[in-house]
Amino acid sequence: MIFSADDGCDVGEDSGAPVSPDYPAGANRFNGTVKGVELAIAEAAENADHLVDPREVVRLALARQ
Amino acid sequence: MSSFNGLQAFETPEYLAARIDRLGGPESYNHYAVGWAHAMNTPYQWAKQVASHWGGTRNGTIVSWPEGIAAKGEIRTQFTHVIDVVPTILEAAGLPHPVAVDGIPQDPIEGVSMLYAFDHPAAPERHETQYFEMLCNRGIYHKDWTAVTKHRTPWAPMNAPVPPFDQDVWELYAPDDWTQAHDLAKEKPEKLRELQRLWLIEAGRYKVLPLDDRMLERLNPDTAGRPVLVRGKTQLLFGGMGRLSENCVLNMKNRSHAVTALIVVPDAGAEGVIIAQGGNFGGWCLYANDGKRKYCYNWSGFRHFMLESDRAIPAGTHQVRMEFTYDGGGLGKGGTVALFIDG
Repeated sequence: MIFSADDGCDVGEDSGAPVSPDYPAGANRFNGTVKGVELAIAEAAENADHLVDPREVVRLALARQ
Repeated sequence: MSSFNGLQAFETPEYLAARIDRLGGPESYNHYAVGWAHAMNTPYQWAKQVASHWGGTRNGTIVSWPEGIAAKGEIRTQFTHVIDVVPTILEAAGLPHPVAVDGIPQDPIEGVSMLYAFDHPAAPERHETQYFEMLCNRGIYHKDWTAVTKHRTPWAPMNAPVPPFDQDVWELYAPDDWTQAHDLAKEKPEKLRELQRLWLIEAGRYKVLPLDDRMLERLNPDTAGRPVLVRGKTQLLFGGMGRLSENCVLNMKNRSHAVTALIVVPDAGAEGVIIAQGGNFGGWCLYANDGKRKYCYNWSGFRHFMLESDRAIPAGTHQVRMEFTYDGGGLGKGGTVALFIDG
């Protein structure tokens, strides 16, 4: 099972060939800001408390600047 | 990508005929058809996937270094492998092989510099032995002899049965037989055994063993038993990250998963991609379409499964979430998708 050998994962845009026919290749960048995205599997994906603390995301983002 | 996912049966002649004008363009992900690929490997027996034979792998290489090589327009015939390029450059530049990079000890470089042959056309060959292995097709080159065996036929479906390794038929070719046309395995069984033994020694030395002829399972680190770069049950990605290969991203395939994004929406309304993985021949994405949240699962380019929210995302900072609840019951099953906002 493989999505693509060369078309990777992007945050805030879809580089390369577009996954969805709704938007074109290239000009599909998010017009606002994507601060962060959390991917989760197993029990982490079933967490009833959906909210990730935004301050925590921003803190982590800043720690990596 | 369909053939890599065992879905080639969906590419019927009708499916392909309806798209014939798009073949070769940006909307297609085509390989050469088997017949043409095979023809273009002439005079060799197989394509490069069958690493035992020279098709696609025995190629001319042009080396140009006007200030460093006196010879012009000459041909060298000493055996050289692509792994020899780096040691050649290092020797030409007078640089030592790196033993550590950023404190990480490096494995020794396995190639042999080809610099020795540039000014000495008749110099004895230095790269005397080279093993080959790809998808368990195996071969060995040693002092102009080759012993080779094809394990898997390149165009056989991914899930087609393959023979046990000890039933693979080995072939033997002499130094003067560069097209591997005259199999001497039956005439010179001693020579063949010697080279088979040498293949095993080289394979052990260079970590080829154990051989693993599974196909679909090897694509997925979980089923292949390969270490993964991403550990744990969650992964946090940030705006600006991109072109992450599949092995660098949490593997969410064949299981329930969730994607939660923290976004800031402008007053004019949201538009564009929040996160996407893959491309038009397979993948998924979460994006804003006419201001609304939308999820698309692209099934190997054959079908797009989409879900769109009723309402637009308001301006300001919001959290949008997609939950995929897997049906379970094996690989490649369906699931139910739900979209949430702020909770």
